[in-house]
Amino acid sequence: MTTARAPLIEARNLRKYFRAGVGLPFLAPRAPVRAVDDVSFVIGAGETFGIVGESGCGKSTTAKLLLLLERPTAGTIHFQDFDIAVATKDELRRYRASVQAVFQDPWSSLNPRMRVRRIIAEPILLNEPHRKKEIPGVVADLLRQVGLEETMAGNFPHEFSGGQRQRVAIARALALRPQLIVLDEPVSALDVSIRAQIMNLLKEIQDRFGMSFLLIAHNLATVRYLAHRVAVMYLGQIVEQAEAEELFTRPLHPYTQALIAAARLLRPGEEPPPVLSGDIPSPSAPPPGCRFSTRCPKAFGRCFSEAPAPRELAPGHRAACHLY
Amino acid sequence: MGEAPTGPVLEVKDLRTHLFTSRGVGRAVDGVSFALRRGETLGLVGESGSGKSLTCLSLLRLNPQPASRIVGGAVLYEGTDLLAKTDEEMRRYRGKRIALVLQDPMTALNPVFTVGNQIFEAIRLHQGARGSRLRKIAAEMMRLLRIPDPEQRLGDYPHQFSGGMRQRAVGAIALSGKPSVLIADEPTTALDVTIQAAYLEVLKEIQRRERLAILFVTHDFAVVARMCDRVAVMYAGKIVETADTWRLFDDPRHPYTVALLRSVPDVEARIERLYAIEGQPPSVFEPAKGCAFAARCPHAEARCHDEPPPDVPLEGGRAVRCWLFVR
Repeated sequence: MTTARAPLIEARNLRKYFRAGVGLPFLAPRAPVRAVDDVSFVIGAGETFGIVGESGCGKSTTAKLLLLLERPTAGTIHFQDFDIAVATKDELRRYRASVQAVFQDPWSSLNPRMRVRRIIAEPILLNEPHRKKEIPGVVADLLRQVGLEETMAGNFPHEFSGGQRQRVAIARALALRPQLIVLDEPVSALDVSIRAQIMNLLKEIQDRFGMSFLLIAHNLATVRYLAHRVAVMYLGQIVEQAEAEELFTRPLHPYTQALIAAARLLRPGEEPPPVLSGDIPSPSAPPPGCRFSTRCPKAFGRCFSEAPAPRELAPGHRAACHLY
Repeated sequence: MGEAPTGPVLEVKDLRTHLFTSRGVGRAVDGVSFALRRGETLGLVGESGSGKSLTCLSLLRLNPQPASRIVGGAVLYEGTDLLAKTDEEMRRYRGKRIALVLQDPMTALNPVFTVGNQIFEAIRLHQGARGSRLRKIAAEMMRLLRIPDPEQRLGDYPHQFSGGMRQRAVGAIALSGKPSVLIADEPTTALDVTIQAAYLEVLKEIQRRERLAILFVTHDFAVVARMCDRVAVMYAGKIVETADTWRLFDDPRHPYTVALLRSVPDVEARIERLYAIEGQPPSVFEPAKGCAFAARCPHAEARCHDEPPPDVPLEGGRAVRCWLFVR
């Protein structure tokens, strides 16, 4: 199953360093924040690729790199037959239309002064102005696809609930029939009873249109429910990646194991698993060796000096850990 | 600390806090009752707008005014009704007997004072300590919350603390009055899972030692399972079900609880399709005539739409507010 899907996007050795302030004259410049530090993955056509990790692990920066909202410090993004870094204007336009996004907060991602009709139509107006005449029909159809009433097209965002707003954001993302939708924490701002509605809607839309999703989330259960393949990030690096079922039933990296243990529903009388000690180190000064070594319960000599390279330990299952 | 009486340390009876806005009167907290014993954690679970945060604030009479007003009920702390106290008397309960921890540790701490300063303030107020004793108690409080190098970190500013450490600092402030009740409103929601697990463990350890009663507000069932002895589920301003944590998980009775538990994905199970509760919670400004959940309930009958259901006591100290259980 691992390579059954044709690759849509391939990210290779992606890095994104942010300069930490300009610093004062006469002072040595501060170390850059290594938000994304050598990350490689492939997103197959029609699949949901999940990136899970805690705050500061670089998952949202990775999403921004794919959305071309940030330029990589190093590394390449291949889309279909071209490399983004050297793409022509025309190719880039094609890319931008093919890769859409749904963000976490539907209160800030929709322009409060635009009617829903305009919000949904904007990507078409900008990218395919010749389709202007079709817009009323297209908007009505998109609203139906996301489970809203056509009559709502004239409303403003504030007239909608959080769940409905997220549906509007999804309709906008669908407007150009993209091949990839980047979902950056698409349900975490929503109420518990609304989350299931939106997660089910995302699944239905993928079944109907067959596009790929890049799902960024911190909630493991959400990722398990939606993703076909999952990468776990820690301090700017992917520590483990595998098919979702494989990753959640046979996690290999101690960090993945700890994440799953911390998110499990404990049975009555069950002792909580040992908690990870310490805090997540700063991404501007990652520990030498394995970045997880400062908190890893299984760390031994080599972990503190030598960074483990990701290796394929089972078919399609890669982990970067000296234990194996 | 005297020996605890056998009764509950905090008992809330039919608490009603209404909102008064240009949109009309909203029954945000609409007849909430529960009891909390020493050493026990009661989870308060519900969606945003269900009234759980306003319930918490109302217990300390910190509900926003004049936007909201407590219009009825009683909040009994060791038998005395806090709602009958003057504002001046009420100050002796806040922090000293009942402490409050909120979701966002960054807004709870003042960014221009050191963490130590803010802990000192609470200790000075509640324990009257001064000088080197103040420092000693503050360092002890930080040690209690497992903040590493407490003496040194007293001089740090909040921005020098990580999220998890900030929430511990807030905890140190909250517990410095040696309260017997802690109201924790989503204290772990802003924390990462691994940091959250460590925080919950510290909190439990302190609870065991001090026999602290905790009202723990959350919407995360994994946190409920780790932290709470009993759970109260809130919907539209009312508690619709109360049960021991594991009875609630294994055998939920109220259709809302059943639906809510089925709509949450599980890290440990492969789920093909989640159950989704259709529609959305009602507005507090347009209360339903009957049961507030009736419009979304798969089992609703005619009666559910017309008449509010009573609170039905069931076996094992549990209770459910639903017509299905009225015989």
